[in-house]
Amino acid sequence: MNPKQEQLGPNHRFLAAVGASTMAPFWVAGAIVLLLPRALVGLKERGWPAREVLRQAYSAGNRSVLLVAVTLASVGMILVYHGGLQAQRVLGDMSPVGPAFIQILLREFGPTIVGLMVAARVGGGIAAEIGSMVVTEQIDALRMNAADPIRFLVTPRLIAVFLTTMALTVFGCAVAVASGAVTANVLFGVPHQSFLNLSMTEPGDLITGLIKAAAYGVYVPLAASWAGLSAGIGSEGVGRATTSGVVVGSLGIIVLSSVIGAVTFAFGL
Amino acid sequence: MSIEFKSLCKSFDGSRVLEDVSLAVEPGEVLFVIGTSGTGKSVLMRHVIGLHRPDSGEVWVHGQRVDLLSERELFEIRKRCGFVFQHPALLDFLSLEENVAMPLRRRFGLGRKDATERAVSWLSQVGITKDARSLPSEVGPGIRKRASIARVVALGPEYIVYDEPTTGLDLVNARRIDNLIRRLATETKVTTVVVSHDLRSIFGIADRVAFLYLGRLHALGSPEELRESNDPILSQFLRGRAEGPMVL
Repeated sequence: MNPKQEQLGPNHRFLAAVGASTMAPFWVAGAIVLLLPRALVGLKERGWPAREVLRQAYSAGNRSVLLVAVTLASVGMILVYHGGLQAQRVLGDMSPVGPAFIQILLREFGPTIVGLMVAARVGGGIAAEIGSMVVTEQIDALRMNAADPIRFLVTPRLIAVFLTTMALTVFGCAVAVASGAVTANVLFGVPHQSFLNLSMTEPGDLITGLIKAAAYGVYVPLAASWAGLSAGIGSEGVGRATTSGVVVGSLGIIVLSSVIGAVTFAFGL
Repeated sequence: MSIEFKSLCKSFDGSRVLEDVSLAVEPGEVLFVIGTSGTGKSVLMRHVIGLHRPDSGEVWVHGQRVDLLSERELFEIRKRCGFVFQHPALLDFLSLEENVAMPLRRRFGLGRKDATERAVSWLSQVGITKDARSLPSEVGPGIRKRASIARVVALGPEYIVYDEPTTGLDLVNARRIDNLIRRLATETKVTTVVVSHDLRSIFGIADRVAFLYLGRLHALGSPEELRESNDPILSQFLRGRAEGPMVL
């Protein structure tokens, strides 16, 4: 409690606490948004660490392949299994299962589930790495050498995670479609040609899915970097930063999914 | 005066860490700032390069009041003043020679080849030759610490602050660091401030010693003067006794 809060009565203190809690998400969102232009400015400067982009891309992309493959394969199987059961019971016709599944996968589930996986695995890693750099004074050392920590740490991660999130989304959707096609064929006898049918998928679905993947690819590294740069003292500070990176990253993806969905719907996509 | 603190006060979350500290560092000397853990030694020194701002009081470096400078203006002071952090603070993803070369490229606009050549030269001066291309995680703490010193010294600062340079090192490596600090101070005439509670270092290489206690400057003098002092608190600290008047 700061000296100003100590002077307040209990009712005012309660209101101040409610107000601070209410405003906190907006402060966090503002801080994350403000990181974007600073990270993008780093792209214009000469000599930014390209090797670090590759290292981050390897860490964020290659090492997430198995997690994304297993998760999206499971999602594909479960969705097609339950969708197939309903279609069998209500319609008695299995032909819409594949087209409907592909449409909702490309528009909603594919990018969002990959985004959540990236937020958990990659976002947590970035927050922990930058948080430990804060604790071990590496950020102060960068400032001492007139090197902008945002340019050195956030810009490479932003580029790497953006590219790998896009690639993982395409890969994850392909895995989900493949597992869905196999499930539909084995459990319901749906031929692959019938399942792999894009008749329900419109360009707007694909565009919406790509917008979401791009937005998550930008948001996750920024949120995780913000969490890392805000780390407190010692291992506890790093732990909190890591948790914060995952929580803020995941919550942001849910919010972004809803907002992008609403906006693209309003624009008739 | 090269570095001077005037009536410096600093608190964190309502807890007073530094209380009315006034201290001047003479040009070219090696001044040790000693005291128990948590007494504000590192906090005091971080004011020199603007990593902390005082609640009240003044910080002067090279005739300039630094506590009022913006981050951009502080860069000029940071060019003159090197800071060896308590942790080696080397960037994990760069090799030792790249860690030394990166500030050289930024500060002096050197090309990659020239910066690397200078970095290798400075690393060899602190006794690092075969590990220059290793990542910080691939070498021991003594080598990391020496590389962090090379990174600072390579920039040719007029002042160097060492924050607990021998903490966590074995005796051999600690003495190597002491010798390096003394040699650099003698050869380059750099004004040196060392935050430490390593008594061997203090009595080995210090010109003067400032003793901080409970956030205040409690004693200041040559190592011999402090050793012969009758002050019971200083005496307890220097003799490392658990019993005594010190409040921890």
